[in-house]
Amino acid sequence: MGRVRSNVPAFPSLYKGLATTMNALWYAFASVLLAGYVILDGFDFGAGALHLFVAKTDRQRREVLAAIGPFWDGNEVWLLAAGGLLFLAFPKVLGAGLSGLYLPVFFLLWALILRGIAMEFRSHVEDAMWRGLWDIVFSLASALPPVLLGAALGNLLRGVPLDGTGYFALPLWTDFTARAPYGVLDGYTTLAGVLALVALAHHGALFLAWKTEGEVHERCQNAAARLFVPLVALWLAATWATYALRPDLFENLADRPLALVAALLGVAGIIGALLSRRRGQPLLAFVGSSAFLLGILVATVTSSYPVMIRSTLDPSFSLTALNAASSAESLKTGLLWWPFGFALALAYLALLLHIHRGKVRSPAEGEGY
Amino acid sequence: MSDPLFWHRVQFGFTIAYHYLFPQLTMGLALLIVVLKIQAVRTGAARYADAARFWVRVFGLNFAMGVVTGLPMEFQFGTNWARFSHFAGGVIGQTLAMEGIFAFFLESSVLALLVFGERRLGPKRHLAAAVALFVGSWLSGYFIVTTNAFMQNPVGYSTAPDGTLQIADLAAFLGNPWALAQYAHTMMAALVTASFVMAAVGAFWLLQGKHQDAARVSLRTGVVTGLFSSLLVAMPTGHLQGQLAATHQKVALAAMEGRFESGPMAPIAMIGQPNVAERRLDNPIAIPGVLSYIAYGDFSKNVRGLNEFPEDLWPTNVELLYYAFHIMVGLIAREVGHGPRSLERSGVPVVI
Repeated sequence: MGRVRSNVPAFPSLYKGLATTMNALWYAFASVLLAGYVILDGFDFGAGALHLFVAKTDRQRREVLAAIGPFWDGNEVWLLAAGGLLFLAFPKVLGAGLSGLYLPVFFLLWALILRGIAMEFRSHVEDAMWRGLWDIVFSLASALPPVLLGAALGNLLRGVPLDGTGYFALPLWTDFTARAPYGVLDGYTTLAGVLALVALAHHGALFLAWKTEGEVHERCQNAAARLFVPLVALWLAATWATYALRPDLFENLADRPLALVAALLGVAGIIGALLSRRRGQPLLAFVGSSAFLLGILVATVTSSYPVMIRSTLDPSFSLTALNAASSAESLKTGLLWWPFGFALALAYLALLLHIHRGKVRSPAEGEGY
Repeated sequence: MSDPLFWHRVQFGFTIAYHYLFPQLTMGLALLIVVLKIQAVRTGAARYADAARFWVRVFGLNFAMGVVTGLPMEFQFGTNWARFSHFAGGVIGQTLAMEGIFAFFLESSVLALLVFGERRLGPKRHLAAAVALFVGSWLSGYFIVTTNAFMQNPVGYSTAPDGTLQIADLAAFLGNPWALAQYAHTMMAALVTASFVMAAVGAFWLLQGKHQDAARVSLRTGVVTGLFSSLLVAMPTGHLQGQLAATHQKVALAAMEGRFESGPMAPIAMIGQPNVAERRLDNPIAIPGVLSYIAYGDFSKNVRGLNEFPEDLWPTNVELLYYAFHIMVGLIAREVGHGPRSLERSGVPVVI
């Protein structure tokens, strides 16, 4: 504290500029972790939600599990790391957001617990009923998180009744209009949730199409083809609904080139996913879908900046990257090690992708998942 | 019971205790897997690699449980302790964020290599992956212990203008003396758990007549490390923790020992029931002077009792703390007592 202050008085505006830059940097870090989480855990959510349909026999289901097996645990760490980062940089946002969305957060946690258990437990016992049960659990518990995460983002964009204490509480739903009294689920946030589910199912189908061969590969290609039109329709509908609810987000676009670039990346990504899939280049199609997700998420967080949780009662109650952050000293200290650790994490991911490159085969009984 | 605080504590207490069962096992297993893999590379004998492969699978199962039960724990800082997070996030957020970024990414990536990559990597690089897994899981232990150590003995912080805590000295915060002692004690406890699980499964297989070679390896490894870690968890690591409690948490020490009256030559109670209403220890069997010695290294030193402190500083549940602590100490004494016989019966040559 003392050190920063002593440098300040001569150039107060410069200091303020630096402090704002640091908050923006941590906002960017948080966004990167959460977007990375959606792209990475997203493909195993999608694969899980679809696996009942694209993999019919036990062998094929184990092929699906072998495809996501080396990755899902590490993918979930992105959420843990994002939680840790919010704790460090924006503790008020973590506290208000998670306590305000208490019930949906616990639904999300239960789903994450159940799908982890389902994957780990299913193949340890060779029994059709046992495995069938866990397959259904895995499917449902993989479909729920995208809906909840999408709805959560919808809540942040629509706004929640944050009051002067910095906290809020929401019922699960009220009358399904995006007007007060607000609920976690209303027309708008449900649309966002369904969009997330369809987008990640499409994403997961492309991942599996890349990683598998034969029947599973064919079915995944078909699933991605069938999901494409609903995905684009939902995306356009959600964009229109967001515009109707929050025209200010789109007015920001003009002076925020990054948001514009990101939106274009999203459009290019989804077109690339379509073309590459048709040309039989599944890896490129998966990359396109990842770019689509990255693009729309970055465009969203860039046009929302600096607001993190929007108050519907009074804009001054909103929690922002500027008013909800830890002290400058804590943020500065975090800057010493966080980028280094994040670079390491990316290196591990690259190594993992490299070692597990190529198509998977269904593992022998007693090996893998 | 109508106090929401009570239910928040119950919920968080359950989450944290249930979660900890898994890392407690995996942190210990990580070291034992390295031991097995080293022997596999050194001797080239299949039984070590077989045993290691089995324990990697056990590790994987429990690591996944640790991740999925750990998420609620981290999230409950937000859902249940929002104000605490806001107040202390600038400091303990450092280690919680470090744990994710330095430890969990490493751990989850190399676990995938260990489980899925034995053939692709070959024995030596597979051993390297086991070492990396050990480093990752013991790092995560350090970060989380440091977080708790700050809550026990806050160092390296200052107060920000808005009244919340901020980090002032990262090195002091990470090198908290409380954390060092607590870490050593905790990791030895993790090793105790993993050793006993490994020895028990090995013994069970031997009795069943299954997987004889891998079973014998598991049993011997578990029994030997079990004895060493049971000794180390008490001396010096547990003792160091006790001394820190005597310096920094006099009230907690008095409650752990059910000590109400102050005085020199403080006895240690082997048996006894704390009677909080009457402020005394009922039916004690005590050894005079030992508590003074444990706390301050001097039999005659004064150890202050609960009576000296206002009741609102006491732990909420003195009896629970007293019994939990005494059962823990009793169990370790029992484990150490059984050690030599277990060694002999599992075929490890010993001279008694």
